[in-house]
Amino acid sequence: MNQYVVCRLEDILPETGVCALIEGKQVAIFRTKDNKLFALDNYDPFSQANVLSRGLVGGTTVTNDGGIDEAVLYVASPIYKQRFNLATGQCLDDNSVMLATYDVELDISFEGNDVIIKYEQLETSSTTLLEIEAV
Amino acid sequence: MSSTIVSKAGKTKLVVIGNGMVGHHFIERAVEKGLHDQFEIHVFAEEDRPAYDRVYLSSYFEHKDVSKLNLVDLSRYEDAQIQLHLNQRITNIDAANQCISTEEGTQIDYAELVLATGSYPFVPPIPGREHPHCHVYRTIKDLDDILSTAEKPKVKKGVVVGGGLLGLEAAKALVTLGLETYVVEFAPQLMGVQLDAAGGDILKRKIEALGVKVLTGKNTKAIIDNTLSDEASCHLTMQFADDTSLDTDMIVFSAGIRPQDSIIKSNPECGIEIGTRGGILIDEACRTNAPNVYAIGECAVWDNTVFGLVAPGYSMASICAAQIAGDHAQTFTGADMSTMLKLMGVDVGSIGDAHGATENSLSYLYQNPVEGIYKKLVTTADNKRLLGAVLVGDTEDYNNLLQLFLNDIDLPAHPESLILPNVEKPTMGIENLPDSATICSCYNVTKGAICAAVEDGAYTMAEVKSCTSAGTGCGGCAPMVKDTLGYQLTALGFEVNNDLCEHFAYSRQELYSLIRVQGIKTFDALLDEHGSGHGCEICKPTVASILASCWNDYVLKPELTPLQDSNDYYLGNIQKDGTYSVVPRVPGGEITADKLIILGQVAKEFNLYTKITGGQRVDLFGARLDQLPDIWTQLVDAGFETGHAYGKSLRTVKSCVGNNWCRYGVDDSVGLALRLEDRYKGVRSPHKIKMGVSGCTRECAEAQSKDFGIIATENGWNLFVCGNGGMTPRHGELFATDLDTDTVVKYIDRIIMFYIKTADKLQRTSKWRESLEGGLEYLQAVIIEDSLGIAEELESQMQLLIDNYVCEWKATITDSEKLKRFRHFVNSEQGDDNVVFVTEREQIRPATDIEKAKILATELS
Ligand code: SRM
Ligand SMILES: Cc1cc2nc3c(=O)[nH]c(=O)nc-3n(C[C@H](O)[C@H](O)[C@H](O)COP(=O)(O)OP(=O)(O)OC[C@H]3O[C@@H](n4cnc5c(N)ncnc54)[C@H](O)[C@@H]3O)c2cc1C
Ligand code: SF4
Ligand code: FES
Repeated sequence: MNQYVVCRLEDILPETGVCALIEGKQVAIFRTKDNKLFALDNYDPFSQANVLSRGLVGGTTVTNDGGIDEAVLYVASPIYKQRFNLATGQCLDDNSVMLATYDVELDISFEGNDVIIKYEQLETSSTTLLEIEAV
Repeated sequence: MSSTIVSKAGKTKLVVIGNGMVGHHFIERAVEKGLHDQFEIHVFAEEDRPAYDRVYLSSYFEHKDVSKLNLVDLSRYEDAQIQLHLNQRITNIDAANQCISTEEGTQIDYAELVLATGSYPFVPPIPGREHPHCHVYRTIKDLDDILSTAEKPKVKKGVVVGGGLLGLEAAKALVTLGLETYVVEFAPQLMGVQLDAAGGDILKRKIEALGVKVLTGKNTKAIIDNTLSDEASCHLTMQFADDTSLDTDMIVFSAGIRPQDSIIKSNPECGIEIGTRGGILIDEACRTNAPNVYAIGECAVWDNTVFGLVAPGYSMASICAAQIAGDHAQTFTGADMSTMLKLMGVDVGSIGDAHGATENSLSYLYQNPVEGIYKKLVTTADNKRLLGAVLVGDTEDYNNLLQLFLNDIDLPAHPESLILPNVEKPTMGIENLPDSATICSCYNVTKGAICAAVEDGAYTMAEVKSCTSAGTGCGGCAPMVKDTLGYQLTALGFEVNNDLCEHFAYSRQELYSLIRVQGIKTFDALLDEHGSGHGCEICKPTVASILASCWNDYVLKPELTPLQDSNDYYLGNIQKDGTYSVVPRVPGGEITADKLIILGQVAKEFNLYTKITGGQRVDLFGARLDQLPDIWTQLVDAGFETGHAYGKSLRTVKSCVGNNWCRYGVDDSVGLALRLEDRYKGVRSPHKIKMGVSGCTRECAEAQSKDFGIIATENGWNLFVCGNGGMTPRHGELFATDLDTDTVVKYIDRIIMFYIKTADKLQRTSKWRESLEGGLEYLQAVIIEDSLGIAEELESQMQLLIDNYVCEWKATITDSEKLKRFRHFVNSEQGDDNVVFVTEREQIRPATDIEKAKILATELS
């Protein structure tokens, strides 16, 4: 498991996101008003731009596959407004789209309030471009 | 030159003379009945354009857009192979040989002939009436002629001859054109056809309050042309039989209409019978006495009556089409002539036998001279049925009474309660009406038909109108159509919901009041008090906008920042590739050479794409997030401010060069534009606001397409409001005339604050104005007459916003905390490698995916 200290909690305003560069990969990290942290791809597949960290955070209720209502938090892309579940990366407006998510934690053991991303393996952010070239 | 139009393919011809409202309606019904398969259909029209909505003719003065009046979808004519011959007047009918001829001599034989020639305006035979400043009021061409006279220099006064329904409408139009307006009526009262003397009197006072001077009992003897005399101040003088006179620059005759039967009158040998007072005689099948010849609409006379309204004409058109198709069941048996005056500011309604002419009828009266209200009911001798009604000054009861009248419904025990104020009215609620009750008489649409349309999915007024046509004629029935829609929606179990989003069970207007009244300053406080859940991308920016509209705090205050849409958050418009645009304010489009050079230098240094915008300023595109602060530092240092191109706030005040340079300019349009732009910059509102100021009526600044448009005249500024370009263009409406500059500013202050107070989220002023019940008059009453007593409050609220203005970019570049936000990565100084430009026309643009892939491939190899 790789660990990566991204920034300090104060660097992220509550209810907003920042973008971190981790081994060439762009990861959007969000902090909610109750200090929960979420991390997912910064790349918005609908606009093909690296912008999700600049989206608005919202909450809604969705009915899951089991027919149960659950409260979810999401980010709405600043370009065409598609919403992505912060916890799962699932696009709420298009079932077929799902973004990668990452474990993100607040490390209070040493200096306190470090935002840490944990991951097994990251793809490089250029993948999408290479895929297009392959088409 | 003489020729003949011969049918091809052995089809015989169905010929229609006249493509007015009724002639066109006939074509639609005929196509519905499949007559175009049976006949080759030819339509001859004297006017140079296909049928248009004469009922709304006067609106042409507001929008000057012919297409808004058009009724004909030419492709539908084409599909049905209808041959429309414009500009072709028919001058002769040979009924014996079933043949007609055009002015040019072309002959057309017919199997069936329909006369739909309408009427012509009656001009009393007064000497001098041929003067080029004398007009009539019936066609678009007439209105164009009136306009061109009104626009001539020195034309200041206008007289309408005739105080009937149309005359008053024409008078209102002259007022709109800025003329000092008179109505001269021969009879002792106005609207003699519909009103009795007392009603006419109240109406007169109301019309005078609109600024129209009314002269009744005046018989015009002569019109004197003053153009050759040196002393005369006006173009014309009207001399009356009582030896008084009136000076004017233009006359519009609206002294009644006459059925257009000239084809027959000039060819009596055709044998078609006309009535003693003109008009083509028809029977209940709309047939004339000549075989296979029909007449419909205003040219027709049935049972000694000419029907000067469009609804009876439409019934005739339907009946006639059915008759020709061989369906003889439907016949014409007269029509309801109830009317509601469309005049703005004066409400007049007349139903059935308004004069109480029916033998033994009873009349009930209510009169309130202070408020200018007059109401009369005419009932049968036994008090059981309504025969007629007159309403002046208050037409709230119109639809209710009309339903009682049309459906022959029993009157309540005390019929007077129907018109008395302050009593519980036995209203004809929609639920009490039978399905067969006619709601829209113009298109003969019943309650049942509207309910059925709603059941089939027409859930909005717009949809109901387009499926049933109800409400698209005179518009008088619109409130009832709306009620019927509401009634049926409720019956179907719908709840009418105006909630902002799932987090707030309030409309934008309600939230505004809560925030304002309770002094709420943050989103979280509002959510705690009045909302639920987390908030979302709908309520957050809306609340941010309301907070800004109320308190105008710096939008990037920490507690406000997370609410802002990306555009407000980064103080720039996000582009498709995630870069931003930079739009400095260039007030009124006026800019020094030095400042232009700075813009050029900045663009060059940061390699930005440069474009002159539609708003008279320069947009610099392609700035990365991390470049924005440096770019703005340079701009702010050079004296530029943010242009709020990203905000729901004032954008630009477009101006023309004005009287400093332009030879036609009558006032300093740039000066006013600068003052307005400086005053309202940064004021957050439900949607963006645009303004324009022109130095004269040539209107080079296109002010009438803006939310606020100001045009200089010799007598001061004319203020237009609630115009819009964009998706649904709307011409601004003339709100007030001849204002001094301070009054312009005062009115705009009040309107903007009132808009902020009452508009829906993301509702431009045009849509807001259309949603205002009571329309323009209501807005004028609130703003000019202060009818709600809030004018002072609105002004002081605006002053607070103006006092709290900060240039957001200036505040941002001097705050190192804020600047941290303008980095692409929180943990690296690098830029976004997905932002790639290519060069086109010597400037950058975002690379396409294919281009990006190619660039990447070359870099990798
Ligand atoms: C740059 C410009 C086009 C140009 O190259 O000329 C422009 C560009 C945009 N317009 Fe516009 N509009 C521009 C003049 C206009 C005009 C013309 C005018 O103002 O005289 C109109 C029609 C007039 C009107 O608004 O009544 C106009 C009607 C719209 C609309 C439709 C509004 C409507 O009520 O229907 C939108 C969409 C919206 O606001 O929801 C829009 C939205 C936009 C947005 C903000 C779309 C977006 O969200 O990305 C564009 C981004 C601007 C940027 O990145 O800086 N733009 N836009 C013009 C900037 C003017 C300025 O200096 O501020
Ligand atoms: C300002 C105004 C406001 C009105 N408001 C209302 C209202 O609120 N409610 C209402 O019900 N009605 C209203 N009306 C009346 C309504 O417009 C008429 O009832 C309706 O237009 C009648 O239709 P029509 O087809 O019979 O006549 P028109 O619409 O006049 O059409 C007749 C057409 O035939 C053409 N024509 C005539 N002779 C010939 C010929 N020899 N050869 C070829 N073509 C010929 C004419 O040029 C004309 O285009 C209003 C009218 C005006 C002018
Ligand atoms: S609007 Fe009038 S004053 Fe202004 S530039 Fe045009 S012509 Fe000149
Ligand atoms: S009654 Fe005229 S539009 Fe309905």
